[in-house]
Amino acid sequence: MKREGRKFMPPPLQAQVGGQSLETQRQMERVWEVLGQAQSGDLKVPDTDAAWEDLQQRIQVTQGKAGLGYVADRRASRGTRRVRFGLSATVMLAACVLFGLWLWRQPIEVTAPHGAQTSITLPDGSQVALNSGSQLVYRRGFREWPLISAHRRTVTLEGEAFFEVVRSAQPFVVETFNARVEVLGTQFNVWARPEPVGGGTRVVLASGKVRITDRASPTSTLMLEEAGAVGHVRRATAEIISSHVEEVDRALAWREQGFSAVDQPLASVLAEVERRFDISIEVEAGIALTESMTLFYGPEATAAVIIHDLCLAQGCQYRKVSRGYVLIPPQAEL
Amino acid sequence: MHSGGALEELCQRLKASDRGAFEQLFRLLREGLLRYVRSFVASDAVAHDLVQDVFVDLWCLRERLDPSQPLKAYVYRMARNRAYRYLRDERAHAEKHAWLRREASATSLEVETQVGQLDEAALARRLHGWILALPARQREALLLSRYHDLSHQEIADIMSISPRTVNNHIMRALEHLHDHVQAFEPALLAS
Repeated sequence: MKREGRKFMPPPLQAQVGGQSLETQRQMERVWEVLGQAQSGDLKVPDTDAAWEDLQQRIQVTQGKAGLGYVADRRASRGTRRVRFGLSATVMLAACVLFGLWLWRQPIEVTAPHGAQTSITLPDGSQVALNSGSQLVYRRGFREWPLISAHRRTVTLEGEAFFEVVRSAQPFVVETFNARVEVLGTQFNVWARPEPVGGGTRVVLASGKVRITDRASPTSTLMLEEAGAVGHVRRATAEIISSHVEEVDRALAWREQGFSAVDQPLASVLAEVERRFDISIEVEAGIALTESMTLFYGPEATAAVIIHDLCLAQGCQYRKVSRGYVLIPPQAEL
Repeated sequence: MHSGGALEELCQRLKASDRGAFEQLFRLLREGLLRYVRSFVASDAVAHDLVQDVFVDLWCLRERLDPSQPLKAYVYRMARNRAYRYLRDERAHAEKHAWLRREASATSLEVETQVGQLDEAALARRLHGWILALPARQREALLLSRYHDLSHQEIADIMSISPRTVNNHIMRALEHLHDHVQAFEPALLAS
């Protein structure tokens, strides 16, 4: 196959060649002419009709739905694309904001595991000491929503904690599973455990004033106003029991690594020992778990000593096992 | 060959999204573009793909065409850009040069073995080989001028150089080829 192309030199070339000798001029023109015979190999490509078909399909695909009309305004489609992009960007942004908000609203949880105690400083500066096996939950800065300041400081407690609340215009509220304790600025202990035997919320006041409300009947309230005052919202009954302890420090011995119980059923005391020393206590049938007890141990308290004393008082026996103790009812006289 | 006027009219219609005009342009320009692109890339298939791409682009930007500008040079320029981008993307420069040298030397070997046979096919092959052996810019300018019916100004637009440089490139190329032809068969120049 020959390449024909343009038979004569284009004018600017002719002009340049023309400036040279007649012989050179003739020879150059001849070279130009001879080039028409240069080989041009066959290209191994689809023929023009096939290529046209292919091209049409690609254009349709490129234009998407607009390709059906074939006269789609590219600028318009670019406009819609921009709108679509803007829309998806907005949706993405909204999703990000919502996710951030959700993350922000995730409450803060502080847990003291069995066998350990923890202390926390709350966002307002109030101090909380958390006894073993207890959990305190509160919102970031006590706020429901970012930037909106809360009108009260709310924490949720399960377990036992001693609070030293910084005085502020926003009331401080401890919510437990069955009671609400409201204060302005004071020191007090809250014990709240939904146990079947002896469960409830018990508040011991160290200083200041607190108001306890039964969450089941909000009209039932009790003010604690003097150190040593105790309010007890029991799990079983609706009334709030008021009592008094002479020595607050003794009632709150746990804070000094001691151990104490005031008029608590044996089951409740044993559960407290389990949490406090991270052991497990098994009780065999025949032991009166509802019997009330009052105990006090100083900082040297150990599980072995407490169990020994308990059994002595109850007239039962105990056996040490790998994870803790088994309490055995008094043996019948042989 | 179609005059610039016919192309200008087709360009006008293409701008108005006339599919018939687009098809006519495709049939008119495809072959030349294929050969032009093939002079850069190492395979027919790649040249075909690139030319198809050029026409897809052309359709997409049809509304922004300026019919007062020479469409053919514009399309060639698109093809050239495509080819260069392809070469850059594929890092195929080395390949390209290797291929060119291989083909060129193969052809010159043929020349050695076939001296004295002045049949047309042999001449055609040799001319092809000599063109391939030209420096790239000279070859490009010569091919565009000789076989693609483009003016110096259009070639200058396509290659992003001045028309004067186009002229120089072609002149050099012709001088090279003149020497080859004379050494091969002086009779060709004498007639």
